[in-house]
Amino acid sequence: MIKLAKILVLNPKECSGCRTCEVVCSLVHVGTCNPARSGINIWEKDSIDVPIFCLQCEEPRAYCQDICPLNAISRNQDTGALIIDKSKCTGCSLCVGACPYKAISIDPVQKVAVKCDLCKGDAACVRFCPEGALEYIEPDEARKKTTRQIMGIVSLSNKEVSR
Amino acid sequence: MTNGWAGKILRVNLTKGTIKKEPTEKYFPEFLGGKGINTKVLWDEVGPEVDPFSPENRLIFGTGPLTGTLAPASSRTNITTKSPQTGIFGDTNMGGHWGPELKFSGYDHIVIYGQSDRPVYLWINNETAELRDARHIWGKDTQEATKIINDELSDPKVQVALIGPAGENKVVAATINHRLGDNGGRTGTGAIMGSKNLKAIAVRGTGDVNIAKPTEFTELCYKLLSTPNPYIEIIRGIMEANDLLYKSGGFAYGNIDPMPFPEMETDYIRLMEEFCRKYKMKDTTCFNCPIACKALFTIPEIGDVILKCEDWMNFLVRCKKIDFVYNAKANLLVQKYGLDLFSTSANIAFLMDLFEKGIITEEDTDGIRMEWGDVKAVYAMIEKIARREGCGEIFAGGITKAAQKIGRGAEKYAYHVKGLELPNYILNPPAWALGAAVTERGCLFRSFAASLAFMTTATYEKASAYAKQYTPDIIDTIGPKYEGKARQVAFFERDVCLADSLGICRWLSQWQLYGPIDQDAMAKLVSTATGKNIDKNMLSEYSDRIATTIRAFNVREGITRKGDTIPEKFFREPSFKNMYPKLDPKKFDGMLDDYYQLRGWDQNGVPTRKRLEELGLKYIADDLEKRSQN
Repeated sequence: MIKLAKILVLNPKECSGCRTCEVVCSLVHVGTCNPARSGINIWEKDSIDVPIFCLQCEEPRAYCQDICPLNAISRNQDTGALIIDKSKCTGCSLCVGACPYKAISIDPVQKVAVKCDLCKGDAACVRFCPEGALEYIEPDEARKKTTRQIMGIVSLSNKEVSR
Repeated sequence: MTNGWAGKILRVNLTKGTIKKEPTEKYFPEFLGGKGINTKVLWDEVGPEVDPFSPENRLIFGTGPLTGTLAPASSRTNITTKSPQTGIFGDTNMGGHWGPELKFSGYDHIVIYGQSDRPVYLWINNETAELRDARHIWGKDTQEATKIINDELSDPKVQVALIGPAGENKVVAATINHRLGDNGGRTGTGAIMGSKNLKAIAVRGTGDVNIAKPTEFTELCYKLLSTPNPYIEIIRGIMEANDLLYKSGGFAYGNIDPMPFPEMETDYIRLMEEFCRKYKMKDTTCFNCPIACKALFTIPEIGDVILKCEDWMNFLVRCKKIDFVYNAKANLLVQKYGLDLFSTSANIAFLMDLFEKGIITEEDTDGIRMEWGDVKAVYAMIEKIARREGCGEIFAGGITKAAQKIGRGAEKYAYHVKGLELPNYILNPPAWALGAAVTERGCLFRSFAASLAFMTTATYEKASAYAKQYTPDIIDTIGPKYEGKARQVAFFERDVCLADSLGICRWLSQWQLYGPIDQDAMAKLVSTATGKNIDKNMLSEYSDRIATTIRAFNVREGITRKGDTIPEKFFREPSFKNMYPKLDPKKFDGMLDDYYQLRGWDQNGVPTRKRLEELGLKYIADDLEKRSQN
């Protein structure tokens, strides 16, 4: 069983939809500003914004890892993050379809799969989020929150956010 | 050249239906950024013989080298044209997510000219750009049309800038709208888009905006983002901001009347708090913005409304009705029809004032009694103005033409500068008076030096304290005196011009006195992003070159010192509780003299050959000279 050192969590009510996380993610990973190449993506519906990012599934094997025909996805031993090896990835998109959270996309420039790698434990999106909507916290603390926050996402999409 | 900039300009000829590309480099290094290059294109291609509504007029969308980057509040698009409302330089600035998306698609600017023979919309999908039939969305409101376009292109991430029925009908107060709550509001750019039969520009981009020095740039942005900014607190607590303005006597009520009405004192703050408690869903923002000045409200009988800043005031204080649900509905209506909030509320307040004074009766307004605070009359008039129905037709050409049509002395109560309606502020403080008089596009809240008087709140001391910390260069210009105001106004004009050119939001510049992005920070941001060495002095020169080119454009259209004035009522009446005395005409003239001298314009407000040549604009000096000889 793989343990995550810390967990990236979302406070959906705090997200203002500014997409700073998308820009900074692309800037620190590929050196350009391009939300389409980011490992975190804001989905907006009726003015409600939800950032979607990889939850680094803690199952013995994650769906993306399971389905990858080239074994291009492996665990980072320090953070527990699932990392895509760009040199192996062919951009076949199987992982994109397999991810239940729609957290993987294809980089339109390099044509390889891209997802959150937790920035080796110093997540840039958390550092830059002006609203404090993203946190990178201890697993015990996160587990207390996660269920509620996933519920938060569901209820947000139905616009039943508590006031 | 590809760092910072996307690199290309898209030129769309609607008459022929052709689309061309040219490099942005063509205009750099002479002109910089969104507003800069827009200005240059307008000067070059739109002469005084061009009527605003003729196919030859240009509608130019421009982003800056920082738009779409990690630079804080990098969401802005500048939209420039010859204004149908004023006949001079027309310019407006829009937030949201459209500008960044344009950059990601590979373009910095779009220059639109000609006129399509049927309604079309422009669809830009990365490299490819095409004109598509828009007959099925012509006549639809902005929200509905956006949804149809998004469905048609089957991508929710497509960003759409479009006009509503007001723009289609060429009402001069028409806006170019984007998402709910984002629009390019003033000077009637939407009417120009309508005259060209262009309903919308839909953009989707997945390309890179490259940064020359990514690590340095990222750290610089982090520093700016994490700098404590008093304004963020103030704008988010909009209640305090409005209370401050109310107490400072800065508001104008009804039709630019300095006297508050009784409910303003008793109900405004209380009802606003109640409204927020009941309906506020969350804060919301434009692209990459730490301020989040907008908020989403879901009101059962109305639906979703996004309110920010001025949306909280205009319909309430202008039409003298403190009811926030009414205000939300009126705001939603102008956004759906694509009408400018300032102009529309000013037009309605003008009618209510004339009705009260007995100059018009319900016979002039299709049987509607234009009484202060009558919400039904407000809703009805918004619709009539947008659709040019019945009495709404009189406002199709703006407040000056409306007053002429009404006659009977109505002109006296039509308050405007260069044809553009006043925002709901008094202009008695000298800095505001000068700023409003010389502003390039007619009286606009956003382009006159708002901040210092804004902060006066009974205390010039407070403004001084901020200035000491943030803008020491102009600390000696603060206070009720007339001296030094030219320097103060020019300082803020530079700031605003640079923010609009670079593509960042003015709210983070020093325009509000204490924004973290001062001109040093702007220079660092643009240098690390583009890899060009641009320092503070160069930026200052860029802004002066833009301001002087705009002035030359306006001179070419017939604006001189005579046009640089404000309604005479401010020379006649002091403000509420005499907080600001009536303006002294001699001293006002003195401020104008100072301002022209500082700008290098002659005493008639015409840029001198010397100044133009210093700025590398010899061709403008030659052009002006040739025209003055003919």
